Amino acid sequence: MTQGRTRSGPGVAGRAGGGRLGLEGLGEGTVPYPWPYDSALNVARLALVVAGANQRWTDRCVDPAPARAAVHQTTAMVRRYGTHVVFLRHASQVVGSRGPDCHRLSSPHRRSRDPHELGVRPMPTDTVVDAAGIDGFFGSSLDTMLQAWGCTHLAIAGFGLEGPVHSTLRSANDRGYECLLLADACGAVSEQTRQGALSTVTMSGGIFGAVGNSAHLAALLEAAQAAALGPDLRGHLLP
Amino acid sequence: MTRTRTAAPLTTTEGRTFGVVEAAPYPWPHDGSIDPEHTAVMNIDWQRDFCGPGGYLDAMGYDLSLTRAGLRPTAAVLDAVRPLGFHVLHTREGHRPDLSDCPRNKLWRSKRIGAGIGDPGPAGRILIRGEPGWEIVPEVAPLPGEQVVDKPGKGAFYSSDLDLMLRTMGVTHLVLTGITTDVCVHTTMREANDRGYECLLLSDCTGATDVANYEASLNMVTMQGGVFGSVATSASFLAALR
Repeated sequence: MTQGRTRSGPGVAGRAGGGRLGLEGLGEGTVPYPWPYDSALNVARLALVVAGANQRWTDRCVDPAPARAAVHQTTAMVRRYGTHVVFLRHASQVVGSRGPDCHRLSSPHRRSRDPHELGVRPMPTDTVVDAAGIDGFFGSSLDTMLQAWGCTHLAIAGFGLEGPVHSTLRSANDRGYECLLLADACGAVSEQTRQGALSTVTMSGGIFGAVGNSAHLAALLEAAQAAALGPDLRGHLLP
Repeated sequence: MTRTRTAAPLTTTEGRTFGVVEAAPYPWPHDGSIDPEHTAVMNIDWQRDFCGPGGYLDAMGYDLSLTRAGLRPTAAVLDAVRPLGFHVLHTREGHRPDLSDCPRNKLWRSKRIGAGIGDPGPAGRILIRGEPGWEIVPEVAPLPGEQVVDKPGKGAFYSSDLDLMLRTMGVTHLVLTGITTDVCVHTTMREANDRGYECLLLSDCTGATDVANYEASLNMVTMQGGVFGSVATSASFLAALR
């Protein structure tokens, strides 16, 4: 099966990122293009959005611990730059309003927790937004707030990469936000769908934005701050 | 939240209802029967730009056989549902000729990969309303009376009149065909599901630019207990209509 005539052929050898199409080179930089599209990142126009922050989604992830650690680290990092941090909580559908209890958690020990409770801990300066859908923009004030803050660029992380993270990313992209999906700060429901969820973003030149890691974001923020401050003031960041 | 059937249908035809479709991860629909008066078959972006020669995907070098694979099964589904009184709608992704509704980052990415939106190509200007590439391919062309929704984004609900039309029609259930599975179809299914529509994705009536991404997209529906809806083959769907 051909991957496309512009590629070097089927089964491109030496793919990184689990061998998935579009994720080659993720280690070196954001893919499939150097994010952001407009080159100069303005920290004041950036927000970090952590989707799927309630327990129903944090509990679904196959291996949430590394994602939790990365979310914790990344939120701490961006706060130093004064970047807005938003945690999204997604409404549970009323059990029984859909015949098959599709929001039933498969593992009995998880059922004791309130699915709407946050599975991660925001800081007082962070914003928690409740959304009516799996998409963080649906039935929420997210868009209004981002517009009020003047945000044009979003770094997106969270739990349920295949669910709230991707739905929120797609919605943001349709609205014209320039999005960077932080692959290492996302918990996924399965490894196979994780790879598909990341790869799809890179199709068609970056159909939903770009994929990167929190280290890429850190480097971008540092460079943006240095450029804004000028050569004499580099290094004087918020404590 | 699911939609309740409160809107009066536009016609007074008394048609049949049908039983459930053998689907994964649950028999569809959850409420146990299919009523054509309240069900729409949504055909997403079967445009030359995505499955025809000289269009957007072709310009980027993608294998069109993957996105064309669902055409014949979709045509068979349309032949089956039209006489039974199902609503049939179609979507098209495309932009105004002056690109005033095209986000700048979307435009930049498309140009970078050699398929600039609005740029001239073998099928006319890429992804522009009214151009040859933007038209729905003849194999699954809309019939007179079937609504076509034009959209500037990947989701058919964003910035369109789709939701208003479906409400007015009294539609509560959607059966999805179209391309690409992982982009416009999935985005639309997610939007629809959040709005309370009960969705069924027909697995052989769709395709993506990459087979593994197509498979992952189906798994994203089936593996979460059906948070977005359910998945079935067109054969299973048609079997339920007999």
